[in-house]
Amino acid sequence: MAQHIAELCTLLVDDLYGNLSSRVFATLVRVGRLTLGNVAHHSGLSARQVKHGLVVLIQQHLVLHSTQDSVTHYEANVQQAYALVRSGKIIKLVEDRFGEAAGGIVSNLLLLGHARVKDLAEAYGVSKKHGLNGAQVNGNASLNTEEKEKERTGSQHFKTLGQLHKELGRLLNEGFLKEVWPVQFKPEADVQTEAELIVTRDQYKGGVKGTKQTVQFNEDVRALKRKWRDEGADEDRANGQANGTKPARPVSKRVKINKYAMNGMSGHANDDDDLVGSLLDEELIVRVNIDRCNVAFRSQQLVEFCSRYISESTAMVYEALLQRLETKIERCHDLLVIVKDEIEERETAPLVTLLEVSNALDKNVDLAAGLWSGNDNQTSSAGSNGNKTNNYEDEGYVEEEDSFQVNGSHRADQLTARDKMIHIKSHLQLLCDDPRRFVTWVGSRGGGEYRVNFRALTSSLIQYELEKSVTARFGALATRLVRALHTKGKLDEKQACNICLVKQKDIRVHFAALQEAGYVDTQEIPKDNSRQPSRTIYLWSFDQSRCRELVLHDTYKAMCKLLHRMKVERRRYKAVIDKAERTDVIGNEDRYLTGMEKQTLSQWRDSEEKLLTQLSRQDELVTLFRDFPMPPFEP
Amino acid sequence: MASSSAGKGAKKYQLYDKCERAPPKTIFFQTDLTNYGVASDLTDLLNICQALVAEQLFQQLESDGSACWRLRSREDAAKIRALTNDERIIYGHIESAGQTPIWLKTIKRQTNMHQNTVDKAVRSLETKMLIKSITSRSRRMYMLAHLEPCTDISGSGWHSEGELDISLIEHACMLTIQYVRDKSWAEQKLPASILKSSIDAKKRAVSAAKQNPKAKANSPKYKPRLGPHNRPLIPFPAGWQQYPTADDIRDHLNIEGVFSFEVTEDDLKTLLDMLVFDGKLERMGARGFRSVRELENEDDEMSSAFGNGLTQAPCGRCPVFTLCEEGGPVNASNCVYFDEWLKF
Ligand code: SF4
Repeated sequence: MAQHIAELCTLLVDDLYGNLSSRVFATLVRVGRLTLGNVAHHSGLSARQVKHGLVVLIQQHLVLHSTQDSVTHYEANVQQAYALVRSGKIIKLVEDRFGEAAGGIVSNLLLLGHARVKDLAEAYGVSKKHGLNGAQVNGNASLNTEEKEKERTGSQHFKTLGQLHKELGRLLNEGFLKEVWPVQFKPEADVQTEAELIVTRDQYKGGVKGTKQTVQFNEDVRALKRKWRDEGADEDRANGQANGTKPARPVSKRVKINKYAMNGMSGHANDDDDLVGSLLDEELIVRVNIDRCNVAFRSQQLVEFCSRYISESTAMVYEALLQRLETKIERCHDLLVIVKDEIEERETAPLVTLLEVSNALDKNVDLAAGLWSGNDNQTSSAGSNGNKTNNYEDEGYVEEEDSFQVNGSHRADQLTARDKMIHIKSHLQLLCDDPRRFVTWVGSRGGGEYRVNFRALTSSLIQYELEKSVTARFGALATRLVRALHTKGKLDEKQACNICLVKQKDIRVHFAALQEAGYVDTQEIPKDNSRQPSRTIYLWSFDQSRCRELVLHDTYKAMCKLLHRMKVERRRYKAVIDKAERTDVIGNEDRYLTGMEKQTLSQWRDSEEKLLTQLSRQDELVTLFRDFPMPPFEP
Repeated sequence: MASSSAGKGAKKYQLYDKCERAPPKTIFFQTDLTNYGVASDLTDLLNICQALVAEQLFQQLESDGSACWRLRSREDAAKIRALTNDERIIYGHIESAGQTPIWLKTIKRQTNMHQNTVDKAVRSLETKMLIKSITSRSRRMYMLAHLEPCTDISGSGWHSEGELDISLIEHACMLTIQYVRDKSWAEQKLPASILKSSIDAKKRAVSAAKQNPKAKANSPKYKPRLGPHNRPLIPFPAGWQQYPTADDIRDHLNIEGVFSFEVTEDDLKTLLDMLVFDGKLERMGARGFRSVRELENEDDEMSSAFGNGLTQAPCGRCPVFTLCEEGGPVNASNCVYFDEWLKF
């Protein structure tokens, strides 16, 4: 199964960074951890070529490395490689939330892997020594071409260094960018070994004895790893392990929240370069934080889920709530934090208040839409809206044009603050009341305090997508069976018939099809030792996490096919694409391309777009199936 | 300390009184209880419930992984409180089996108690009129005294001549869905503001399309069904008490349906469960049912709301998916399904 994700990642690397990089990458994915020499051996490339390939891959975080006893091992970073397919989505996300300029930064950083603030400024042409045009930005060749492009478009985004720093600071504070630390270049296994070594050396000289101590030991190791991950390497580690990466910076510089403070920004609208030069540390190296993006993607998918089941306007309130919560959540699932059980999770879950939602809400959202403004006084608590301009009779949907000319009197900005609160509260109550429990009421602080049970919601969302797969492939009846099994647990054929009200012969056909595809399982329980089929009970069951894995790998495979097909299509239209991409043709298409060629070209563009759209939809499934689920409880 | 526990005691009975007003056998979920407004926050609520469970006034159940509660009458609760430990455990087992009578041997196995202890406890429960015994296939089975044993399935109303009567079931489903759907969603009454917001949305979509000419003006993924006046349907406010209940639906079926038999509670329960599995109905609060928000394009195989990113692509529904690989006889380059899909 893992072969599909490997193939997919290799295809992606090949697409973006060319043949040499992808051959090195493919070797590492296929064989596993290797030294430089071994890579050369397995890939049939020369050591020089491998080195070239590795430089690019490491800069992109696509290969991790660790040095021990002066031997360096390299390992493919599959997660990062997969994320390449998500670049477009990440850029769009940041653009939607923070504007085009921010999107531009993220797009550049995705292309570069990571970059020093100073170098970014230079690339944008706003550095202090503007004009020097330093080409040796992090030694990455691909920047040069990119740089030119940026000089064209980038200069529109940022006129001064201050603006660039401000935008970077905002993205850092929101978590979409993060600082680069040595630990991020290391394979997970090495980090684990190292952490274990240090914890043993410092705290468990006599070794770890007994289960109780083991538990504590593991927690200490996790704590250390958390520290490395969240705060960078400490001195200890930097001294002990001089590896090729940038030297560790003093811990004291890293303050947790709002660390990238914008001193003196507020007063100066037109910042001059000298003043703002000190805003961010010029030596700071930043990259895009995929974990944080996944949190945002989760919000997006939940909002869509909500708009499917409640209404668009309630979904907008939900969006505000989730985005507010995002600032309190660093990642969808944290493998370095062990949660004992539901109660602990509930107690540690971040909360959001009605007031916060209200402040986060876009002023233009029409809060009254999607709320029933019943005429029934008994239900007024939730349904009442302040300005009752239209008093319809109970059933009377009066079709008089006049009475409808309320012309936006319900817009949020014209509601009194109190009405606004009442409206938002009604939306939040709808979210609580829905069978999917989009939010949970916790208390009444801040006008009402709420929590989101991400674990349960993720599971509902996964179930929803799996069921959609089942419906599309096997029909509605199969979905009914799957749902019944999911709710009731294991069932024999007779029980399933009675619960689902389906005839035995129909049920058999569907179960067989589902089983063949791996969606449901069967278990044989002999009634006695004779092992005769007639003396055996067959129990059917549905296991969400198994099914999820299955569909996830199918999705990887399907994505490979899409990418392959894209190549095929490109090859098919190669002549005309090449022509259209010639520098003299770009911009003068009408002059150089024949009508026929233009038509072929647009044919190819259509198919390419169709394939890309599908790729992006499948990536949404991967996000849901792979990145959202939380690790199981560990009591 | 004393005053706070007294406060909790008062709250406890307050909550119980409120619950008592709901029809018997109602199952309460956390949100239902929150809506009563007795507890000040979630922890408080859970504490109160815990106290009521301890006093046997609440029976704790589980549904879809979330806790829910059912009321016991004060008399029953008092009787249960007076039981010995063993008796209480056995009572719990019999109670959780609901309308299916439970065999003495099963009880023994589940509780891991000695035969004598079980016998004694069962006898005592019987004399206290808490449980009753039923003999079926020469086995002595027990169930709660006030319940009726569920009908043997083959005898349910949905069978005729020993076979499930599918057309009958479909007819009943249709009637049920229609009935519930009409009472589930309100029609939006503010066309002006709706118009406005939808215009805004369109404007946004257009400007987004302009910014990014590559992205086609993407139509919304979901097209919810509109109400009879062609206006959007919106939910009733939270805590809405007028969603149809199982009893309402049963009455409706018995009046409107052309059934040769009376639809019983059990028959209906099966039917409703099935409709929930089908994604047609959903439970709202303790007793209500609501139709799931309907989409116009959900069953349309060509629309974006049908299936997902995987099944919409040719590979997601490909019969030779497992065989397909690069270099093999079937692969993406020579794939006819792709040809067709791209042409469309
Ligand atoms: S590429 Fe074609 S043959 Fe291969 S799995 Fe996809 S649809 Fe099927």
